[in-house]
Amino acid sequence: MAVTARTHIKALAVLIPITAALLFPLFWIISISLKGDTEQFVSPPTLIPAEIVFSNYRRLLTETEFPRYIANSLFVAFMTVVVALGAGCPAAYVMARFRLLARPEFTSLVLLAYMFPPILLGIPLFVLFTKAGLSDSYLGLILAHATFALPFVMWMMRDFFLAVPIEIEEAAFIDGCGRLRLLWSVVLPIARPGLVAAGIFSFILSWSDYIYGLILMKSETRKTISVGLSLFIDSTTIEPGLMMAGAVLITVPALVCFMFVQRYLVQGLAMGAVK
Amino acid sequence: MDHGRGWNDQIGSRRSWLGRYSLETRERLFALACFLPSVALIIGLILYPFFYTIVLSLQRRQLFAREGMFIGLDNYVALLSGGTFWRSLFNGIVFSGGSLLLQVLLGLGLALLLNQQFVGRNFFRGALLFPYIIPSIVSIVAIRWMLNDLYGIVNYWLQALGLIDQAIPWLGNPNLAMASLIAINAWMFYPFVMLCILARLQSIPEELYEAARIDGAGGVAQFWYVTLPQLRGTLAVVIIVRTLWMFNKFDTVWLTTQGGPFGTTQTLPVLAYIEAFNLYELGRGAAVGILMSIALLVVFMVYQRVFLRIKEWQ
Repeated sequence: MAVTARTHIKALAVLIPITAALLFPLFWIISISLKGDTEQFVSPPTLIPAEIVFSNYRRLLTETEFPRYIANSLFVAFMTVVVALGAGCPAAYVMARFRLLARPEFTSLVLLAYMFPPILLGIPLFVLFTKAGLSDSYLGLILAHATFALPFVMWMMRDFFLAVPIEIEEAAFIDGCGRLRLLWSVVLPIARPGLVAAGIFSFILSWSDYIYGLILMKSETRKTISVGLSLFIDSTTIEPGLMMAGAVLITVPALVCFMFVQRYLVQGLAMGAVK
Repeated sequence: MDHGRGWNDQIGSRRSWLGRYSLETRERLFALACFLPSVALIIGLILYPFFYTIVLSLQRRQLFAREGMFIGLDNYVALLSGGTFWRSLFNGIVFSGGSLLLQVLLGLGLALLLNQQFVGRNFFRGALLFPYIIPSIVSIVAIRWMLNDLYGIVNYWLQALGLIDQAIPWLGNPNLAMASLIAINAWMFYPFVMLCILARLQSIPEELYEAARIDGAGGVAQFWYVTLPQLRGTLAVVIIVRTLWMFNKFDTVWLTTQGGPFGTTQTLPVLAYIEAFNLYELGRGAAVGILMSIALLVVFMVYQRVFLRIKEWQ
């Protein structure tokens, strides 16, 4: 179909206002985070800060517990990735290569595990972790995050392993390569882009979690970023500048992660890398 | 369904010169060793806790108590005979139905627009994903401040345009809270629908449209007789997956309204949380969770049926 100037203009005329409206909240976060104490509340509100200041960020990082929350979330997300990839990859590999484990029953079970609503698991995990002494501990939260990160990795990596040409493995096998070495030095290097993508998606899932952090982490020093930021909304003295600076700091790592997985973005998101 | 490509099955009988076990046994041990950690984690962290929820739901148990008291089905009877459960279920259906409808319309519309050829198409495809990839808490912080009745920019604009006389508490008004919540959710989650539909649109062969045009079909007819039937499978999957996720949505509801005002936005996940962690009735909360998962299981079974049907269509 020939593309005329009119099609360009028609599409842009519709899309530009819609996109502007849908992305406005994100613009607004950044704008407020850069406003001084009085400008945050002036009426009429200024779209672009009259005076750009970084005092909100400075105060957030020096006067509040926010750096602590960031460190907590980083640690938990990183360990969640380690657990999910460490356990999920070998499982996904054998699910892709062994007939017995490739049965549809297993794959639907993994999907069902992934679909499990966190609120439903939050209640029993709270009780069981309290009994086991894991409540309010990083290990407990990491295990709770594994409930969604692990099935996701298994589900996603299985597809990547299925795409690895079996002939390569056969050749290595005939050359006397054992299974373990085959997996480590033949299959994993080929599937590495997928591995990185699955890891980054797991990181984002854990980083964005709110509910498990809310239920499991009670002491002030162990709160994660989502819970930490939600405290700003409900606090008695509203400080929009601080709140928005926090929102920006939470968003940046997630966006950087997404940029790294651009190639797999569509696949990952369509698989529900964000619920 | 795919059954894996088990080349190892054919050469499984070959005896290895290494080790004293046959190749087949060693292959099995390898598979087991790979599979076991994940299975152990899934059983320990998902399946066992789920069955433990059933046990909890049959107890009267305070949040921090070490032991509960078995009370049979009392929690279920109390829930099913009271009004709160049914109202939460109804709210949940309105919430997920409304959010779903809005996000499918928005996602479908945008996908159709983005499937055309125009300058800057890739920019828009990327930019329109943003509301989905930023963490939920960030979207909610932004929206709640925008809707604030004293300083919110939405009320300011509406007043400046003369559309309303005084600021409206969008999330605090019992008549408006649910509608606001639905709009917020549609905004946060339309990119998923857009992404899935766009991927499918790109795989519709152009010949189908050519044939339709030769038959004299206009834009609307092409959409109705070519695009929509081709999208049928994708739409079905998207709708079911989104229904599951919207029905289970806790964080967006909790962080915007906490189920209020006056319980008008209280859905089942919020009810479960309130019972267990605010009212300290762990058993009651567990019972809500079990009733929810029954609903979930039904939808999941429909999903599988639909999924198989789609395989047949393709």
